[in-house]
Order: sequence, then structure tokens, then C-alpha cells
Amino acid sequence: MTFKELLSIAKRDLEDLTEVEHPDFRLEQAVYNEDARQWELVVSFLVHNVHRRNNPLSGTPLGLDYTRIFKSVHINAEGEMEGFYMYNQRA
Amino acid sequence: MIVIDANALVVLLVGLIRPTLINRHKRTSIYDDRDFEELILEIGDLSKLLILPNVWTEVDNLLNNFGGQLKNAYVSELKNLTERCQEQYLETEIAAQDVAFYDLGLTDTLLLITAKQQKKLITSDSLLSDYARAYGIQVYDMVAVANSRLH
Repeated sequence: MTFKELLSIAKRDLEDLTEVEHPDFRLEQAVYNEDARQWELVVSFLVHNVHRRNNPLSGTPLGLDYTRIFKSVHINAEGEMEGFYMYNQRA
Repeated sequence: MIVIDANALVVLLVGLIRPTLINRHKRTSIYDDRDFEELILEIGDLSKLLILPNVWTEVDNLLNNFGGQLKNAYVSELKNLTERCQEQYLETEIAAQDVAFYDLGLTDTLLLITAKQQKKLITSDSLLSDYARAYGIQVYDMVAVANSRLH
């Protein structure tokens, strides 16, 4: 399975998680797990930043209008997504 | 000067050692020798690279487990790069006071602050790239370049 196919599958199955018009889906990592016979991906995409913090001094919002979230995704040899999980990019 | 982040520097360093190793590491698994060649072209002159000590530490933590011949090559290439590239120290306190610290953490906040001054950033971190673009910094986004071949 090519990276292009893997990204396409992840995008198809995760696009309902964002309401951003151009969510900029990205393949961040892709490793084949021989033992589990599945691809283990990390993908990212943009969502609306609904939890913007405020500057405690001025009260103005901090951060960007959009925020990028990362998901760990498992895809089997048949091209089916077996699960997706939270992924901490900085862990 | 061009500011570079840890993952992009890993691609550069591993590419200088042996390009076929680039996609063996999880964090650089989407890249190959083509990305290394394009990165070299983008940098142009290695002496233009500005590398933070925090970035060197992250890179060494990721790569200093090579064995045998590869360890020798790693040490040699790292030594060569440290001699050719520039290095700049920024106090941790500067990052901790920045609004981006909450989302980006220490190293990437320092990269963002430095890139605001230097105007150009090479990164393999999509979140850092999003922030840098929002601040009008010129970004060479390696994830975006690699993904442009997948759409």
C-alpha cells in the first residue's frame, strides 16, 4: 500500500471530525508493523480553535483561529481503518 | 540566516551519513533521499544555517544510538556541521514568557522567536509551521512538500 493510498483512507474516514473548509490533511508518519500486519500512521488536520485562551492582562484571545490535531491511525492490509487514537506529537 | 528545527536537521544529518537510512526512523518515515536532496537545495550554503542548542540536544538524543561504522559517520558529520553552521543561545525564560509556549513547548517556541528575527524557517513540524506562517515567516515546510506528492 502506498503512502498516497494510506493518506486517502485516513482522510476519507476522519474528515467528518473537522468542519474547516480546507483542513490540510497531512501524513506525518507511516510505519508498517510486521507483527500486527498493519500500517501505523500519524495524520494531522486543522480544526476550529474553540478553546482559545484569553490574555489575562488585555482579555484578548491568544493563539490561532485554527488548531492542528494529530491522530494515530491503524490501517490493515485490506485498507480498512482498525482504529484511531489520540496522539501527542510532543511526547 | 535560516533557522532549522530538529526533525529537519535529522533528515539533513542522516542524509549526509547515508540517505537510504532516512525513512528508517519513525519521525522521518515519510521522507526519502529526494527530500534530502531538495533540503540541500533549499539550504544552499550550510554556513547559513542557524541552529539552537536545544535543537542540537534533541537531534543528538534521537541519533546518538547508532552503532559501529554509522556511529563514526554520525560523530564525524555532526562535528563537521557544528563547525560550519551558526549557533545561538536563547534563555529558557524568553520562551516561557511567550504566548506560543503553551502550544509549542520550549524548543519550538525558541525556534519561532528566532525565526521572527531571521525571517526564514525550515521545519518538519506542522504545528510550528502553522504558527510561523501566521506570523508571516517564510517557511520551508518539509511535511507539506512531502505531502504535495500524495494529493
